[in-house]
Amino acid sequence: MTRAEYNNIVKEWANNVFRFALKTINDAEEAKDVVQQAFEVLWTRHESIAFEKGKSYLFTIAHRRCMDYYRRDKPKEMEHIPEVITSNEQSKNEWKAYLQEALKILDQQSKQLILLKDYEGYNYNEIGQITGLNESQVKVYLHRARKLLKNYLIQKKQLL
Amino acid sequence: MEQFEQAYMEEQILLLLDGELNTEQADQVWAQIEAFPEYKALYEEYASVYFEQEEAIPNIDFSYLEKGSAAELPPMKVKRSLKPVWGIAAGLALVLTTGILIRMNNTEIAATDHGLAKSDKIHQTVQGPIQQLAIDSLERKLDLKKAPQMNKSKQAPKRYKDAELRLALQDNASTPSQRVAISSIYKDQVSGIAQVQSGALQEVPGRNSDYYASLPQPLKASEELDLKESGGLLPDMIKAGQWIFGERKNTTTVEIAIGNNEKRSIKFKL
Repeated sequence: MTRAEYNNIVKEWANNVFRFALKTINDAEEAKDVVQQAFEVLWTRHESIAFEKGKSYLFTIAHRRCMDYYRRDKPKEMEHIPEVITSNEQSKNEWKAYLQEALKILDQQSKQLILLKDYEGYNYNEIGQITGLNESQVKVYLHRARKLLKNYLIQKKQLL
Repeated sequence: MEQFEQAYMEEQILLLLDGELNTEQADQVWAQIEAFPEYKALYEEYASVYFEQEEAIPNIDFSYLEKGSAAELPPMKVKRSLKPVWGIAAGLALVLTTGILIRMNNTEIAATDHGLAKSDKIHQTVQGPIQQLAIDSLERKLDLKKAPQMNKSKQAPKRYKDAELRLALQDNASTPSQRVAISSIYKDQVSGIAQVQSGALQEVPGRNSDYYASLPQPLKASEELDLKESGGLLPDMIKAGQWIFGERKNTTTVEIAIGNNEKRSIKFKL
């Protein structure tokens, strides 16, 4: 990719990578580091990476860095993440908040799979390439994570 | 049987929600969902645990990551997790390493008035003579005018002599194509990773304190990405010192903070 294409990727995806890292490791400063490191590596190799592959390459690096971080440091409690409110419906927002909270019950890997699927819209195959899992594993882990989320939220609903 | 069907439908619903079914398969699942209220309820339950794609995209200014822009240098960042004990360890490490270097080489090291070093794990064998390391040349390469300068009164005294400085960095003015790879990384990447394998150092014409070593081969992705978690600042510093000055262990990725202590880091592979 060219310098201009690289700069486009920064504009287009830096905040997405940041969101992915932040929600994975729950530390804004570390998440910024992850973003910076991912872009450093991308820039170092930009001449040999096609523009179209730039985003998934970034997420691959970010995924690895997040896993490194997770192995090295105990993740913190979820920081308050300013949400972009898209609806005024209180119940919808409450549900979103519960859903965010429910992410905490997932292990790192499941959390990352959910984030890559829901936020970034990757399919199983692409998620497999980013995380180093095969497609079946992605499917099984994702489905397991969804069940956990569903059961957690059903329980929560019953309690409320 | 009923349980099996339930499990099967559950999986199909998840595949549907994940967009992993083709049109025909999706239509079949939809038909089942419409026909059976329990499947519809299951579908709705699962649909509610998906995050909205456009939800909560932060708006952090990452324009400093762009190349060729005025805002190229990243903002100064203080590592929040750096506890006082690490500060002590860092200082101790610096002193220890400096001691080792002086002892082994009978010379002085650029003990850096800019910061301290931290390294990641060692992972590659090298051969040949070892270079001394000077941070001030690196600073020049990085155009640190853009970074806030350290308070004069807080600066550590320089403990090296200019004539003794060695730094395996490229010189922009006299570089064949292969060497440009290094200089451009340093120039463009504040935290650029450059591999400088040992080899004969050559003096940069007209700059008696700058030296360069040519890069034997272009950087490889696997090498660049092989940054493993640190084993701790102190042992890594010592390892780095041992390697740099004579024990010829391995390459090391060293992270050096320049500017005000730990505010920014540069990683490079020696």
